[in-house]
Amino acid sequence: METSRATTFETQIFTALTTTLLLQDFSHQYPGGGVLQYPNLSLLPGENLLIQGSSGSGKSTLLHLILGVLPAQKPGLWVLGETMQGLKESAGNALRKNKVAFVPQRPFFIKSLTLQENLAWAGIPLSGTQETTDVLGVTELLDKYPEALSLGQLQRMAIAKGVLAKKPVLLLDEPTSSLDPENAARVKEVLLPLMADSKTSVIAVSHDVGLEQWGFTKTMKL
Amino acid sequence: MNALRFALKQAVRNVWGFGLVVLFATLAGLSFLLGEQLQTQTEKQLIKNISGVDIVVGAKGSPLQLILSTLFFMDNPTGNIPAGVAKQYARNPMVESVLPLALGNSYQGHRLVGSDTAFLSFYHAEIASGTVYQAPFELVIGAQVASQRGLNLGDEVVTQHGMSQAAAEHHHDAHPYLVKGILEPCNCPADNVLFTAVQSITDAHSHGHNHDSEQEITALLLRCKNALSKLQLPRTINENTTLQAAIPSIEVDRLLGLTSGAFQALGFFSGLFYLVCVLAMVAAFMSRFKERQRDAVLLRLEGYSSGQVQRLILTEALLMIAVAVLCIAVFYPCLSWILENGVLAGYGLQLALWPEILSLFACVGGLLVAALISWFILWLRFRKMSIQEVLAREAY
Repeated sequence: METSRATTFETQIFTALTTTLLLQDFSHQYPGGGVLQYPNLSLLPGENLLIQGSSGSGKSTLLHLILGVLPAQKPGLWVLGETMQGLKESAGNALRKNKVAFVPQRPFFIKSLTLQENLAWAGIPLSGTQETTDVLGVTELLDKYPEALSLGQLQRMAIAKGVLAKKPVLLLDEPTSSLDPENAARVKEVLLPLMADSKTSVIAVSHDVGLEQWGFTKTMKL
Repeated sequence: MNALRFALKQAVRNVWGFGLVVLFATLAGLSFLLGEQLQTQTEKQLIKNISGVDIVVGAKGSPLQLILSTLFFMDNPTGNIPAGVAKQYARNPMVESVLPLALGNSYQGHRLVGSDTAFLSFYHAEIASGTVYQAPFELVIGAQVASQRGLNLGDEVVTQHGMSQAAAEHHHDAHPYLVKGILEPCNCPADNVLFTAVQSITDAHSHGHNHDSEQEITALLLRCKNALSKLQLPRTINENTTLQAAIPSIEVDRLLGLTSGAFQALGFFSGLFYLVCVLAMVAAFMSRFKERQRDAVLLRLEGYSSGQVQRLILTEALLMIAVAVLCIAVFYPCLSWILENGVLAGYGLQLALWPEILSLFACVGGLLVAALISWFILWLRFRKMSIQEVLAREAY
């Protein structure tokens, strides 16, 4: 009996350390709010996840928990081998700096910097960016300030920034919410090679049923 | 891109907000320095101008008026005294040196002072060009007289009877004066007057007047040999003669006492203005809080630590103060020049409002503290900030 328990624990630890994302009996509760219970899931490196669900089901909350900006109150959430419960600030900074890129639902940039300077502040060198920015149709916008761009342009620029960051995990919160079909297709064109890449896991939250056709390895319904 | 470049970009892209903070900080600095310097320099200048003169002997009247007219050339003399008393006091064993003064004439509002060449040491003056006068109707002029009236060595000057430009009774056309020397600027009343021999005044006035009357002068400046003499001699003169002995230090103390209320009010209002400007500066710095919060969240999402974000904001606050200090360095000399030459000189005050190093440190230090307070308030608010809450807010 003891041996069996030890083996289960070791298996859990091994799984946590080798997966990109592991949810095991994980839940989260906002103060005064209902409990958000998440299904168990393990995402291996290179696998991609599409999270779908109705408003208020905890989709964006899960992204914020993975990003480390919302403290996990309970155990059961591991990101790249690191438990998110009791995550120290310095560990959270390191996670976001080196491992997890995030594209928010309503993208925003530092207003006083051009988009190119915004990329530089995110640690993205200018060289080697053109292929991605060309596909997304934002190369001509790089020397402009954010306030000069439309919401759709900002969203494509934010996706370009997320892709160019080349981090092991890319979190996308409603990546096509402000895009017309033509520009949504551009985003798909950029993301598909990344999703096929075994080094990167794309985790997207979306209401857009069109994303189901993009070939995500796994889908989570909330 | 380093923190300074980031701060510069913020300044350029938010020029109005940045300019407003710089404006308030500059106004605060200028009000502090001008208010403080006006007060301290007036006191210092009054004390400096009387140093080296222990007693002023003149006609009976107001002792303050006697001091103002002879040491500051600001008021009318109390009257005349016989010229012979100069020799009498020069022989007095309690007296170290004597300087006779003959006032009464002027040139375009600048007073003509008849005296002997010892005036250089009594008024802390030095010759910049030319020489001291050797004969009657030769002049040594103050630096401001030379610059304001465009006078050079060898120029001729016609004086007028009376002390002011407006009160010109008649011109001494028959006795033009020759400029023989020009004084170094001393930021003292000597800058604003013309010196000549006592004999020049006497000769100018003897034309058409009673030649038999005894020569008169306006006052005597005395230096005593020791502290005891400074106490005894004025009492002796005031009790035993028809003359008046005024002690400059006592009269200046009285003057400072009379003006202390005005200086306190000036200090209060400049302090109040400083405080208002500093508060306005803090408020202007805080006005872009939401935008700074978004920038901070964005940087935190890229993995920047809270400390790194705070350093960026602190750099911006310090840059504002640096620009404000630069503005103060440019505008303060202009303002003080206008005050010195346009306002104070009109009242006969020769003040050098150039701030002392301690005042500068206090001014810059005060602004730095204000910048640090602004930054600290932001730091406290950012500490409470939840990145997730800002992200949720920005989503809608």
